[in-house]
Amino acid sequence: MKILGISAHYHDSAAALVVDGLPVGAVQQERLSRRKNDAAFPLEAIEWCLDHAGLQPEDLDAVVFYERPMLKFDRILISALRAFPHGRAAFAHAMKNSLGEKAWVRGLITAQLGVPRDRILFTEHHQSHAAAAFLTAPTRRAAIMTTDGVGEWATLTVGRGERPAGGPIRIVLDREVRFPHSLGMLYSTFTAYLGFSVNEGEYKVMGLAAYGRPTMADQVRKVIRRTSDGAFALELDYFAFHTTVAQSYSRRFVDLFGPPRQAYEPIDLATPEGRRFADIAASVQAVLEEILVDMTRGLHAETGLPDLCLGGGVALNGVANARILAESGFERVFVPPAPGDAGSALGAALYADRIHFCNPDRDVPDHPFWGPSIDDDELARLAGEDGLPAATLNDAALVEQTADDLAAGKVVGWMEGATEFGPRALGHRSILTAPHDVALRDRLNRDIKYREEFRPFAPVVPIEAADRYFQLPPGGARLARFMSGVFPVRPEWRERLAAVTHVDGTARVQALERSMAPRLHDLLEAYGRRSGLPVLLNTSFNLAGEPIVNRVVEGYSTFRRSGIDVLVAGRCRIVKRARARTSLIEELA
Amino acid sequence: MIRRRGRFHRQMIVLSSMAGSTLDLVQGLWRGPSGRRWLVPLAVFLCLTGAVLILAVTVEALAPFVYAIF
Repeated sequence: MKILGISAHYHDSAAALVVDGLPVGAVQQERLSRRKNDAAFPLEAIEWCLDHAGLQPEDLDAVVFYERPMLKFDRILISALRAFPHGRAAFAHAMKNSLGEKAWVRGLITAQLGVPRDRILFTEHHQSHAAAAFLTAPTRRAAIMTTDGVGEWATLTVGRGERPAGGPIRIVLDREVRFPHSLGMLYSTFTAYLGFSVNEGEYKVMGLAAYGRPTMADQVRKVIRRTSDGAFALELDYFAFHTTVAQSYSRRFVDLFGPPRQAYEPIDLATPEGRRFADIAASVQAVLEEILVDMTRGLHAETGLPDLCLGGGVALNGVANARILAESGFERVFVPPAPGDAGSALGAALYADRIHFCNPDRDVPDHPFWGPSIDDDELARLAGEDGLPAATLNDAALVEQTADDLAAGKVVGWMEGATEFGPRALGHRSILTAPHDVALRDRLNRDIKYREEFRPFAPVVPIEAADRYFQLPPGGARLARFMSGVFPVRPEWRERLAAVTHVDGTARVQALERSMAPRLHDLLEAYGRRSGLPVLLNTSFNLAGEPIVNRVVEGYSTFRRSGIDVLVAGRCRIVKRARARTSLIEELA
Repeated sequence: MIRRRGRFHRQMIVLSSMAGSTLDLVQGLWRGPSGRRWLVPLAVFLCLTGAVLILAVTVEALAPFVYAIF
């Protein structure tokens, strides 16, 4: 069967194609449209998936949308009525927003793709998250927890999944927490309060948290209380997201935590105000972890299963994931490379395949590289047009040359194969540099990534060597496969890994298995032979405010506009002209 | 390649699908366990409003008249 999954209309839309039970392509719309977090109907992403598989829309057996728009409309309507008369403006905005296009997804898909109405299916939002987490994980039975801002009504679900060999596949979500009570909305509210963009700046809150102490955890516990059934409830007087689109928190929230940070104010951690913001970030992070650990501990006791699959945007919180692994009792925790809404496109397609159509189970390849591949000849052509010398090398020579570049303190743009599906660069669209040099890290922040100083960079290390440099608990390497956990750097290596060690001594490490990205694995080993340390700083190949690069031309453009020294795409390598000249002069001298 | 339809054609398809989607919503409210049957008239009214808004986008000549209502 050929099943297309679509997620759209909230943030980060995407398409994924499943043929005969296996994904053949999945890509976020932003990578093709070049608009960060593009939420529009993902026509380009769909077109790429179909072209990649050589299919026409009429060849599809089903198109599955990742949530039920009418159930979502029901929630928006009820929430607006509950808030009446306070939310009059929000009501008008929500109705205009929903009724213009978002509610009529069946018609929209028919209009855009020409697929008959009876081939269009819908899954529930958290079913899609659960399927994306469970059906892609290498486990037969697992407990499942999905947590995000909000889907239709649910904001958190717990349940279990089973895919016995030859037997029926089941995903059962037993219980849910419903809007407006939401861990995702809690975190987003603090994100807004701390002056960052909602749905984008949550990483920054997590990064900032390491600089603070959870001195205001009791205040956070006032705005979110635990309920007798083991769940939680927001004290809605402190929030405004459920009554207005303009504000996430209420005046009472400000009375409790003090004045919010304005987005244009820099965070100076040397000032009391800067430390207050860091303490607030640390406090909400601590309470979030506390609730997640407690709920997963309960889920473990209830299911008795050794494996846990986490889905939803909150599963991007690597600090919380690591605590869940350490304290919940689960032996292994699986987080897919795209646990957020984009990944739900794949989840919806797999759910329809396995559960709706009852197709036999198949193991999904355990990697994130489902997007468009680069054209190996493109970089040489682009560089030629600009008169830049380009070298085309074989794999071994390219790896050795790049390891030399990295050992010489250069910043390398690294593109190979298919792009990652999900928000993280896991080795195919990365900026790489040496992990020891704090000056290089600062240069990356200042000249290349243009981002806040307090945000950490992540390391990538061969899985065989991961335990030597990082304190990975049992099961930690699995969590580190897609950079989904934050673990301590071993104290004796912190100085030599200074550029990737956060202020609290941790790192969001990627433990790379050779089969997943063989060439990057070779590069790590080659760099290790030179430096004695097979670890590299790995950050996504993009500039601030832009999506991760997809095609070589975008990598080349980023290379030209930033302080990246060397660009490698496929087998081709180019260096910045100024540096090439300097090297030549040095050689002549 | 996906065959691109004109905007008018696309919007007409969306309009023609609205009855079915509205019916889904009404059925959900009617059969739901939370006793929200009283919401059905409002939901239908809002869906009709949505239809009028989409009509305004589809047939631009109608837009001034439609927006004048709001």
